[in-house]
Amino acid sequence: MNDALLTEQYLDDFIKGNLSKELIIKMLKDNGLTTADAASEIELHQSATAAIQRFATISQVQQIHKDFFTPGETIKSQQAKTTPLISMKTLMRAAAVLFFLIGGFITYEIATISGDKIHQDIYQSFSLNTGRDIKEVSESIIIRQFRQNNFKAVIESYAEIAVPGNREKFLAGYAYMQNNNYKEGISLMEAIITSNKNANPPLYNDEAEYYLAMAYLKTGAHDKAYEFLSLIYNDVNHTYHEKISWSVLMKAKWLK
Amino acid sequence: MITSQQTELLLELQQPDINKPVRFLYENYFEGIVAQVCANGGTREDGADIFQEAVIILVDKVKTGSFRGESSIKTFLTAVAKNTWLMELRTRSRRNIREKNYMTNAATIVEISDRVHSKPANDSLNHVFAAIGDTCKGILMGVYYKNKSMRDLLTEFNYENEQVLRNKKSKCMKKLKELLSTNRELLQNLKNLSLYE
Repeated sequence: MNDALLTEQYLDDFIKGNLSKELIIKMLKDNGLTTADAASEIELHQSATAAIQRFATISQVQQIHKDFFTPGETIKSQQAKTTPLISMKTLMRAAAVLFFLIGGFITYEIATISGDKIHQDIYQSFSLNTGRDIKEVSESIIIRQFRQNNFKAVIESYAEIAVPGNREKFLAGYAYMQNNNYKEGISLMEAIITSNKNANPPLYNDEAEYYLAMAYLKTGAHDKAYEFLSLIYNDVNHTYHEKISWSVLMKAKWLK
Repeated sequence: MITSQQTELLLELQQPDINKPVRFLYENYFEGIVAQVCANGGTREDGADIFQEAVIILVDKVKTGSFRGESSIKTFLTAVAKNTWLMELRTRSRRNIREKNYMTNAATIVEISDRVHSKPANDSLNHVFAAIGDTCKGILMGVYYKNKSMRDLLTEFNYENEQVLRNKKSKCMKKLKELLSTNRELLQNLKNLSLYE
């Protein structure tokens, strides 16, 4: 065994506790080292041994550490650990169900759409108190009868008026419609619109247009109904504008 | 009080293969320590580093026989992590009120004079061992960590005879010592460490 190997053997025996410090220093000195060199050798050998032992521990701990944490994990772990409330598969299923529901709804709406149904959805009865300032309307017989919903009497009274104005025409036209006589009702409402063409201000024009649209829906004249509904929908200042939504207009269009 | 489970864990930590007990420590205490560091101004990465350092310190103390079992492993790790994180905060010159409160409340069970197992110190050590090569690493760890006999190592590394292996081991040790001698800071850290029992 050469000197280097022998020295190392002594140093190993020392760190294993088989040799005392005094004895190893003596043996190293016998092997040609000074006391200082021997002390340095011992210290370096101890440090190297400590390094090997720590490295063995650290490398094992670091290996396991990697399983629990990787740099930049903050974002990755959040992505991994955040279980989506709804999985993509569920989302696709929901989308498909929603698609069929919407499709089914639209199909149902188209299949069941009718003039009567639209009429039922958007019809608003006329009231003198709400439609006009009561002070503007003289308390004539026809008005009193209208307020009493006595539409038959309204029609009779209208027939006796020699020169009816738009108000009387409207009340009578409305009364006809209430009695399901849409032909007469439509005729009077159209007369109002015609007379309003050169009138300033036009009287009962909005009301005539709205109830004309209602009458056309009831009588199956869907083209004409759509024409008036469209006119009301496009006029934001129209008295009945709020009653006609985009979906109502589309339904009326499907009927054409 | 040390439970029988912890006694078993300490025995396992004394063995060369510490994978099982260290995994147990990570599974049971990692998230708690990380949360503790995060609650005191650190990031998740800070917490992970601190936990790793605390585990290495624990293993070190168990293997050198200086873990006296006066506290439970959980208490020990928590205290070490608190102290280590405080030292890290000091290093980063981030003393603030939160740190003072934290220090006041921390039960100082373990005093850490120096961070010999800090991430930079560990990186430095890894660097040295990467330089000596896998064969040298295997032989030296076999002799000085696993306490394997030359006969066992002879079979493991497939050398002609024991003398060749001794020569190789001697060369590996010489190389390691040379590398350590060029890293004064690392060498100084190592001088302060006790050897494993």
